[in-house]
Amino acid sequence: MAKKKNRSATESKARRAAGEAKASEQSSALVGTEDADLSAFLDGELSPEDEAELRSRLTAEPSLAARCAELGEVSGHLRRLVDPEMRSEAQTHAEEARIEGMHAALRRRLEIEDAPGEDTEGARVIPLRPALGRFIPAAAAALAAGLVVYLGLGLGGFGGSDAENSGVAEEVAVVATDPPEGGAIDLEALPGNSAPPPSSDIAALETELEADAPVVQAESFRAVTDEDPVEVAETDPFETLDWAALDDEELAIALDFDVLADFDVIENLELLELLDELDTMEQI
Amino acid sequence: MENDPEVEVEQKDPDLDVALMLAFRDGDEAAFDRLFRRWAGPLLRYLERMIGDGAVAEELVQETFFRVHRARARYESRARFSTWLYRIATNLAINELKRPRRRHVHQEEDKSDLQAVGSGVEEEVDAKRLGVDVGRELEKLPERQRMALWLSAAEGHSYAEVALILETTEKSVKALVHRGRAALVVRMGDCAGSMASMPRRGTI
Repeated sequence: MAKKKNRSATESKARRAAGEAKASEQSSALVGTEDADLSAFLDGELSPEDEAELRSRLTAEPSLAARCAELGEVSGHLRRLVDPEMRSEAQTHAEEARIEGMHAALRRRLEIEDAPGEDTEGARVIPLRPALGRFIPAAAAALAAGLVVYLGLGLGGFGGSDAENSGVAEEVAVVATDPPEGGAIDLEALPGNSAPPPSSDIAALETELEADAPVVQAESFRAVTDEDPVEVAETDPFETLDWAALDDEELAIALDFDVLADFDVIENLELLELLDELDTMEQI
Repeated sequence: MENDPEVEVEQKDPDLDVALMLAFRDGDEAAFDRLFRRWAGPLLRYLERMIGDGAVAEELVQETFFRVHRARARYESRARFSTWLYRIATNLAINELKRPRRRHVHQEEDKSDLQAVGSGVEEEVDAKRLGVDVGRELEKLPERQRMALWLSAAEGHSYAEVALILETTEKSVKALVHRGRAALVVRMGDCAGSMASMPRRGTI
């Protein structure tokens, strides 16, 4: 049973190895379970049982032993490449010098990297720099626009009509969205943003602004004087009102809230609720 | 140099490596220097075989240790230090090999010194030349075969360690190592055939 299982496992390995061999043209003739096991044997990677089995086969099968020797020869050559005894003194010194050079270079790099505030890796480390460069002019423009608005409002507004104000707003919008090349903005050249006057001139400036500011005065809102005739109502509507004929709603409309406070609340509950609703609607 | 790197490398005491790395993690820079001197040589030879360019291999050794230096806080002594180190180096090498300009940079070595050697040392020279040829043929293998075979057969890493370094399974490593080794047998056979036909001093 165990033998059958082993044979099955071996066949399975062979099939897998055959599949791998197809995938690799280079070593298609060489890949096989036995070969792979020989390699693993040479590298000390077989389990003790498999190793014992292979050893017994190697003694019994000269062709397998020859193949093992071939593969082992490659390993021997590779090991000699790293064997210090196979290197000449000159080679050893040359390698030591290279290692010292690498060590010194590495130490320099580490010192530079660890130094505070050092710009060590240029664009590789600071990818933000170009983005920041693009951001600064836009930020400066936005700041300038903010200053314009602030100064304009603080010094009495832009004055003039809505049309004039919208013109200024358009200019500000243009500045904010279209910063000049390089981000340099002449703040004094912006509309409504001349250099601030000295403090001694502020009173004069305010007077000047008041004089310049257009007076918005509609003719229909002329001030009332003592000479203007006063129309006096001939009859008091409260006296002519038929209170008994009013329903609750009309009564509520006719009376203001203070008077309602004297009403019988229980009897006029609906009226009060209605008035409350009306009051809420007015507020909205 | 304070410590002889060859002596230290030959000892290859994994416990010492871990102790040095832990000391370095705790701030001992001298421990880092010792680790560098213990492993820079083997790492350089490995990377030279993988990349085929000594100058680039030196850059990669520096970069590997630079990353070790930077990642010291994350080091855990679960795996061997060398496994961790070679994994970093292997990833760097693979990235390097992806660059088109780095591919197939195998400069022809001057064989004149070998061909002019007298018959008294022929055997040694043949062995040396064969070693050089093995190195050259190795560089022609697919990169993962090359890496697996070198790490296993030349440097003596176990298949499990190679699997960790190459981020694959032990079964794959077994297959990679064997394919590489078998391919080299064929190529070395070709080399041996050409060497046998080469005239030697005194035979002409």
